Amino acid sequence: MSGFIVLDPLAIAELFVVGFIGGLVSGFIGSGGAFVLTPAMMSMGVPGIVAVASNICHKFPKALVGAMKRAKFGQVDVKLGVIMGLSAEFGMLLGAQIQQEIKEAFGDAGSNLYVSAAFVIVLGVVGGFVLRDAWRLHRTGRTDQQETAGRLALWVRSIHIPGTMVYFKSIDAKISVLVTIPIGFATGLLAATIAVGGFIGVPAMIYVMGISSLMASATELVIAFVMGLGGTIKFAWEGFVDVRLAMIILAGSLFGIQIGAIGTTYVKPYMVKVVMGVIMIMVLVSRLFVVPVYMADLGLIGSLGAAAAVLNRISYWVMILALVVGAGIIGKSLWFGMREHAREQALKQAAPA
Amino acid sequence: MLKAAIHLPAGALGAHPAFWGPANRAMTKFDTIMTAVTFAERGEAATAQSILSGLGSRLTAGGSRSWGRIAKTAALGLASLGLYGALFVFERPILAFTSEGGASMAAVIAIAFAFSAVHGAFTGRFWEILGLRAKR
Repeated sequence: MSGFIVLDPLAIAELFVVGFIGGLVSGFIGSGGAFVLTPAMMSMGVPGIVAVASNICHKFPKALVGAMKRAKFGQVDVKLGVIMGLSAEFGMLLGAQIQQEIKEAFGDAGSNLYVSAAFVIVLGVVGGFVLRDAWRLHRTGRTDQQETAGRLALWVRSIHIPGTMVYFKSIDAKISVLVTIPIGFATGLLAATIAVGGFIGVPAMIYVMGISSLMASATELVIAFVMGLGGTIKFAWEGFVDVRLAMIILAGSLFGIQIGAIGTTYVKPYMVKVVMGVIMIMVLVSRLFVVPVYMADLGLIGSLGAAAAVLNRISYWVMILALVVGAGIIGKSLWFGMREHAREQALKQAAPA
Repeated sequence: MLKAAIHLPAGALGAHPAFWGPANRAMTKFDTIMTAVTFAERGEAATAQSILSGLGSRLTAGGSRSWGRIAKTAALGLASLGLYGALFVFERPILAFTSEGGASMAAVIAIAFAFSAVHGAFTGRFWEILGLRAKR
């Protein structure tokens, strides 16, 4: 049982709380929490591979519960989720292979630098775009309007490749699987690299396929379930899963994911973009703090001395802050959404028949 | 609901919302039915129906906090607690078995599914009991 730590009450409480906040965000935007959970476990002394394996093991049952909850609200496109989930499995395999080869060639520092660079590039480009779109909607006051497919999505839908067209109920149209497979593949590749595939999957479903934010974030839970199940089988087969860690995180995240899923029924759909964009940019900032540390480890810049530990701690706490800010926005939107709904119901009841 | 049905003049005490909040809360099911009967006897069937439908919706709203639901939620909570208790009581043999790899992978998947089914059902009902329900 080497590599499995002794759990003290404080560690259990920390994992439960981070699991809860991660679940809350996950229930709302379809992904989240994983980027904090792996470093949180590693800071407790859990070896990296056990942390990743246990994280993935908590992910698939959490995603299953969230997907079922949101399916009840009519927000899930199961067919799309399964097709993208299966192609994401292949992306994960390639992503894991790339990780392994980088680690063999450049060691842990090289691997860490690769992960952080991927974080910075993907989150900078995609997160910036998502946040800009949400801000534009907010400024133009079109937040109440039904989301419509953009130009890119309309062009994608117009592509007709015989023998590859599949009907998806989320858009009430056919799309070639030659479009959905690369998106699923990229989702899996990113999941194997930075542990959060949804940062590619959800924006791609929204902007490339023209799916509404709510349906995209709900369908991402199906993808996460398929990917998480595959990943768990792989890691558990090698004996890397610490089932205690996975179930503690699951305990917290199942409390959170219910609130996140309920929250989607009260808020304006563009809030999914706001929360996702804010979290992505904050995580990007967090990774920027540790890039110099890995560069110093690789000898690309001079030694940082004690500053390295400080930068690592700042990075970790900015990630925690990203989750807390995301959860705060969801909580506030849910609170105001529920109040508004209660007021509408009261007015409806008070209106003379 | 009641206030709208009776159509009080603007200056009357009962026209003030502060009056109707506590009054509605204090009104029992019996009082409500009797009020509806009074209106019905006076020939104001629509008003009586409106009062009774208000009672119906209040009963439905309270339904999620009925004793049956609370008992089911508590039972699921205990079952979830039992699962977690067992996991930590038998921590060493469970860890030893699941870390063997190979076929023991099935035990990891089974544990994850069992915990998500029981604990997932509990957490869903838990928030509902506390009044956190999806918008319909």
